[in-house]
Amino acid sequence: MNTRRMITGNGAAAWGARLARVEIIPNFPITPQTAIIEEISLWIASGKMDADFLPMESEHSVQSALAAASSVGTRVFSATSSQGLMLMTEMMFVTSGLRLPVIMVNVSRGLSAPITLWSDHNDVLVQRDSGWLQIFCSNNQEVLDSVVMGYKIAENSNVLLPMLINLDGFTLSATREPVEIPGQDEIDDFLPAYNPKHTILDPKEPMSMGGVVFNEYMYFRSQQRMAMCNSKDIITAVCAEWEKMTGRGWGRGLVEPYCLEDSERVLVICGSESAILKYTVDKLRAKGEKVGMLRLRTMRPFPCEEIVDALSDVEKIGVIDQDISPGSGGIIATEVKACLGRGVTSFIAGLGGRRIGAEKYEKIFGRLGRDVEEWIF
Amino acid sequence: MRAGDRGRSRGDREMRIVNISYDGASGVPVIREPASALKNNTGTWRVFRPTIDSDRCVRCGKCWVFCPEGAIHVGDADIWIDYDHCKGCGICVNECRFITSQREV
Repeated sequence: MNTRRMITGNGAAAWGARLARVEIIPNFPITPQTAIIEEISLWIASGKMDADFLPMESEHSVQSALAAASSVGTRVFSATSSQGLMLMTEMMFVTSGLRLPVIMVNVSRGLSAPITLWSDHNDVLVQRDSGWLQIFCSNNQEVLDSVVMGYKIAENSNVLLPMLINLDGFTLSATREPVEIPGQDEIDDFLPAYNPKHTILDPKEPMSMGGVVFNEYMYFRSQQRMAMCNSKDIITAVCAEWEKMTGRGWGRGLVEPYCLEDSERVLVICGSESAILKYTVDKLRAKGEKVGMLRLRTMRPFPCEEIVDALSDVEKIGVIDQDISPGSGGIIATEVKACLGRGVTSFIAGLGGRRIGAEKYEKIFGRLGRDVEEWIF
Repeated sequence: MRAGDRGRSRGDREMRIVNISYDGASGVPVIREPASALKNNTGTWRVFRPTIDSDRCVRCGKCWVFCPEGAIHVGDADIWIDYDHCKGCGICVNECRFITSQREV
């Protein structure tokens, strides 16, 4: 039976893992993620959740344990942030290379030095080439929904890839919002137990994973790439099924268009900042300005076709990046430009959680139309 | 985008992913056959070839213990080296005065 509660983004992530009946949770604490694994450890200790809680000695070990536990056929979950995600980097490629459907939540936080605790997408975007599916959430409900849907997508035999679910530090992780928590029986119908065919611990069927290859390396990389291509259809299908069950489809799963029909000026954005941008769009629309927003929900697979479909007729496009690749520019702006085959105005804003706010978005809408990079302080 | 599909993803330009088929679970890097490494003739990597002087060998088995490749075999009457898998590391030569090595020709 559904219940509605006021929970934080971290609480929503923990609820997602609990509803998905994960079996092993290797973990290491790091701000602003710690509340996720604290909540889970509390549930395990009080018997509300039947799972093994493994406190590890570092994030590198967490990722190793995730891969090992998943490769013997269990459903696994963990969460991390920022520096922790960086320490996992080496093993991130192993997990995706072995094609293990691990689900991990990243609570985004800017990278040191200097140290910041607040939200910034550079941590998660550093992992964009690691072969993980990446979902960016815009609110706490989406976090819960994405974790549960994540297992169904990642475990599909046409995908078999790990998934990183990003929620913005503090903005979502520490903010309470009303969240619909689906009933366990409903989720059990939606998400059957993980029953892998490709890697499983079975003495009758011994197997060795990720051995040395020579010329075959490129073949396995191509298989990973094809799995990523396949995942687009699966994400759309799973979101449609979820929508039928809960009424929430999160766009078609890949992008969320907002007021795009007759838009002349559109901002592309991802994550929780989209909520403030929607408010700004409403405000400007009330004054008769034809503005709109396109939120990218998946970063990998990158929704190229969807962006082209949504924006090909739009005259002026801007991209908000809460990240920076020094020497190149905004990471998302670079990719959007490559999709569209034309210039966009790239805005670098909100690094290290620096406030953007509706009044700045209004100004940003007035500065579209030039192929330049602009920093919004 | 599927293999062989014409994508719209680069604006008006066409992008094509050629001839990649998706092989599902069989495209995952897993070896399902135990001891399949025996098929790899790693002996071709060898530069120095160890030879046991079988007239003086006392079959103590020290070389067998130290061989990191499991390429030395102890039989009922003798000890021999599996040259298909000996990489010529020279550890046995170091351990036993009755094993000598010569550069491969």
